[in-house]
Amino acid sequence: MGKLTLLLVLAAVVGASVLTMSVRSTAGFSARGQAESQADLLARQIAESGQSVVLTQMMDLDGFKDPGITSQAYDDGRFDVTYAPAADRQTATVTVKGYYGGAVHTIESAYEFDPMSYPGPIWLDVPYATSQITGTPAISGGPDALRVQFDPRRHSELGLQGPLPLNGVASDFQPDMRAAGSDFSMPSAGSWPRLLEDLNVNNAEDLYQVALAAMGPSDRSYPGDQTLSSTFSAMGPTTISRIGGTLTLNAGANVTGEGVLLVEGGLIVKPNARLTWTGLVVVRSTDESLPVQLDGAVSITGGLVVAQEAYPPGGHLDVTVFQRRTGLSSSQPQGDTNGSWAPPTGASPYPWYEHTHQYETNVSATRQVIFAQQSSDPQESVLTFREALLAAGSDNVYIEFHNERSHGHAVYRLEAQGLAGVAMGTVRNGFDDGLRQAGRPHRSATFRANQLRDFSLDVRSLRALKQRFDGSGCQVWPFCVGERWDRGGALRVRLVRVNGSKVLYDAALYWHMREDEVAQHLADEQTWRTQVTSGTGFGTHLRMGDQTTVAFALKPIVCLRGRLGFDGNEVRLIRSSTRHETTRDTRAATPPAPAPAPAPAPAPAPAPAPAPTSLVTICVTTVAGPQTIQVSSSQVATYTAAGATTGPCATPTPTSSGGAPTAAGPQGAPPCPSGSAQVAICNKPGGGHPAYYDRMVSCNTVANHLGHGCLLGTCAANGR
Amino acid sequence: MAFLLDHLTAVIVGAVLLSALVFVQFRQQQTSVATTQRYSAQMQTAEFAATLQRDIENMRTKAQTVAAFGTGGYRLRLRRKTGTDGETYTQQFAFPTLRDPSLGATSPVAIVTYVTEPTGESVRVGAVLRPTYRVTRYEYSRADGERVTGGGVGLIDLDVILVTGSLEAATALDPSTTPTRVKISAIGAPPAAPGGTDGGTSATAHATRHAETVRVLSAGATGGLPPTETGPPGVPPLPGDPPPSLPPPSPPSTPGGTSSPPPPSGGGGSSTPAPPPASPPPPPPPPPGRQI
Repeated sequence: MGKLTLLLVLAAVVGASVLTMSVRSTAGFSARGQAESQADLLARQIAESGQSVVLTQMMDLDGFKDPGITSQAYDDGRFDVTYAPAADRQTATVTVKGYYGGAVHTIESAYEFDPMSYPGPIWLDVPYATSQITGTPAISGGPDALRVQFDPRRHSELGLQGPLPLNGVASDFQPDMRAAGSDFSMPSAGSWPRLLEDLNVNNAEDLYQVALAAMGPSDRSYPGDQTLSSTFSAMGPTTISRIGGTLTLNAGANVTGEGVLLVEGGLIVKPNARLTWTGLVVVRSTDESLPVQLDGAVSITGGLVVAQEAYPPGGHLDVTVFQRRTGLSSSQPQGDTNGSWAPPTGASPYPWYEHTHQYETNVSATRQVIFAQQSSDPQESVLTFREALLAAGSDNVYIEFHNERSHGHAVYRLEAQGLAGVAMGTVRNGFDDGLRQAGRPHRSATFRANQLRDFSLDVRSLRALKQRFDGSGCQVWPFCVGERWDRGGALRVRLVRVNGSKVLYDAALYWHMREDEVAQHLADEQTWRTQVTSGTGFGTHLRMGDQTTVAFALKPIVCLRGRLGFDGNEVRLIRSSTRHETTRDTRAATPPAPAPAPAPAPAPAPAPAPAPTSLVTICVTTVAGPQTIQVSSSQVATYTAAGATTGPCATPTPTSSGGAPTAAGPQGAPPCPSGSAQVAICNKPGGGHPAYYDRMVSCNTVANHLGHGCLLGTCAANGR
Repeated sequence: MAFLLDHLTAVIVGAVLLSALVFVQFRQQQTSVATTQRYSAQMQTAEFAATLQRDIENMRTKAQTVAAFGTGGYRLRLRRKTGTDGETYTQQFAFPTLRDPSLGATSPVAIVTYVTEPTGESVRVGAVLRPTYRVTRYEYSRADGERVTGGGVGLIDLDVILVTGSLEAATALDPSTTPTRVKISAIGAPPAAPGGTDGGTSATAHATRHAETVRVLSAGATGGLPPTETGPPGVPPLPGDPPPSLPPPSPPSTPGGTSSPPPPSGGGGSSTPAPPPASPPPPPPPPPGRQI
């Protein structure tokens, strides 16, 4: 029995060993394939990641710069970078090679620097302008020689072509600007969206409002007119300094600053005063006449922007209210019809609950809509907002703004018990974090309807409202907005019940005119036009002295991109190409280790190294189908004996370029015409062989050999 | 007697052990062969996908292609067809790419066309019988004209989806716009596993799926025109194009192998459906000239 036990143990050991070796061989075989596939993938990802890294590193404020990377480890691989810029740093070719586990992925791309678009050293968004220079001021447009630009859209909106033709502006500005070393242009209305696309504003008024809304505790604000005669400094390349009226610098004043200077009135720099500013100087006013007098030593490096909102009298802020206690619905989007306003004759009633007029008849007065106020609700009789709140009881509700992109120049104030604080800000920017719903900046946090204390809107820009006053396509001005069921996409304020997302209250704010106001408006407008025509100073009046320098520079403006929402500089792709070397490609390209030199003594040499032979393309039929491979010429006879034919197969294995078949393609065992046929294989290392070695085996055993990791054909043909 | 019993037991035990070893070896051999076949299929599918990926990565823009082949030489085509199993596959995918990526941007441009054709055979994947296809790669260049540069790849399915910049599938392929990304999905058709054949047409197979989304590096490129090559403008009909004498376009693909409608003539097209109808008109405005 002892012998039997011994025999059993020995048999078990032998069987387990054989099984283990086979399993390990198979596992190793699969693992290698997976590792190679993974290396290919990772090399590609590393190259793409490297390209992204380099792109971010090579961006400067005015061109490309050396990314400072030549080789960098990345995960377990690395990427190499070759950076070749043009002399002017406006174009560059970048080659990034990603390496991982023998795989190499190369991306070669050429880029062009695309500077942020900006109008020019002086940007005039005014209805009309005059120019006057004394001496020789200096205006420069930077490397691209940008010109002084006048936006004619406001002039067109006001219908000033008759009383104040634009050629008067051109004939006034052109010689002055040329004398100052620049030039003057008046791009058409259709050109401005493209000119301003990188600034993300529609006009200079937008820019002013965005800067105003961006102001924070670290910025400076000085209310009312300011007159300075001493030194003043406002440094910080991204700070915003606001003057709440006209800024006058008397002789002896010396103002130095950076960032944005907002002047809500005229800008007057008298002789012997000094203004040095790096960044943007924005002069904005609603006055009929806006002076910009730069008689002192003025140096602006960046840009000067002038926005004038000088509208003729007439019209008023209007609010239309849609309300329904059970919630507005698609079948009745305008709410209850009980209080609907009936037209005089002929037509069906207009189905909104109620709307009102004449909040303001004076455009220069404060345009404030008070929906709810803790002490009293002065406008409740027409707004009916409190009524909607009371109907909602203790239901959870929220406030929501719509069409804020076009009409967002209003400031809201919202206070309710349960909110994290008093919400204040611009409609355009929406509610602050913590007071807004996730991913919905224009939707307030939830509160109970009966806990709302204050909610009001202060409309800051008449222009934003007037854009829907007589918008495009309007045939019956000034009633265009009023004729639209949806109020022409005017600014909307909604009260929404959380449960079921029912809109309980919906108000549209816009600029409008009643029918009985038209006659008065026409008379007022005629008076206004007469005044404009008679030269009473309507428009912006730019005056520059000998010591004025306005130099356009992109750097200080791009610096403000984070605060003012500019896009900043961009990169334009000129061309790109890629190539990839798989782990197998790389291995095939690596020359095999040189054969050991034959010993001088006539000692029995190991298997002779195969003599250099030429490669021959043959077609073998495997279980995977016909396959084109290359073998050494000495092996051709062996393969043809096994059924192969010389030359490529009729349908060769796909290749990436030029159709050169790959030597290391997928391999299957050849057919065996007879069991004794001998086939050349490249045997895997083992059995005393430290590397792959050539071997002739029986055709019937090829499949097994391939299963163990051997390769079909000679080692030379397989790159071993 | 004890002697005989001992030897008889030893012989029986030895025979059982020997049989077990032979069985284990036989199973191991079968496993090795199956592994080899699966590996072969994986590598074949992966190599095909790598080739397609490389071509897609180097896809050229319309301007770059027109510079090489002249006006009317741009081709971006994607045709789908429904197989006998009711599954839709990509029957033709043609686009311009670099002929030799190793030359970088100085490489000439070639139009490559991948054409998928049924082999007439099928394999059983799980419980489903799937027809097999053979994919052939054609390449048209100024220097060599049209030639077959690869093929014979056995697949169960090939699905190509062009993706626009918004990362949504292109619903209306604009022939003048280079897609920003291309989703490819290829399911390899490995050879039959031992013992699973059924007349050679419905062998049991383990499918190997290779799927990825490839970024088209040159999408949006503004330059990078290829080197000038002489030759008549335009590109001849591509492999897989419907013959010009075909009757008017048939309805969209239906099970049974009906082709999708041919693309519009001149410079590319697709088999994608038409855009959805316009939204309903707004409600009529109230009477004009009145303040409301």
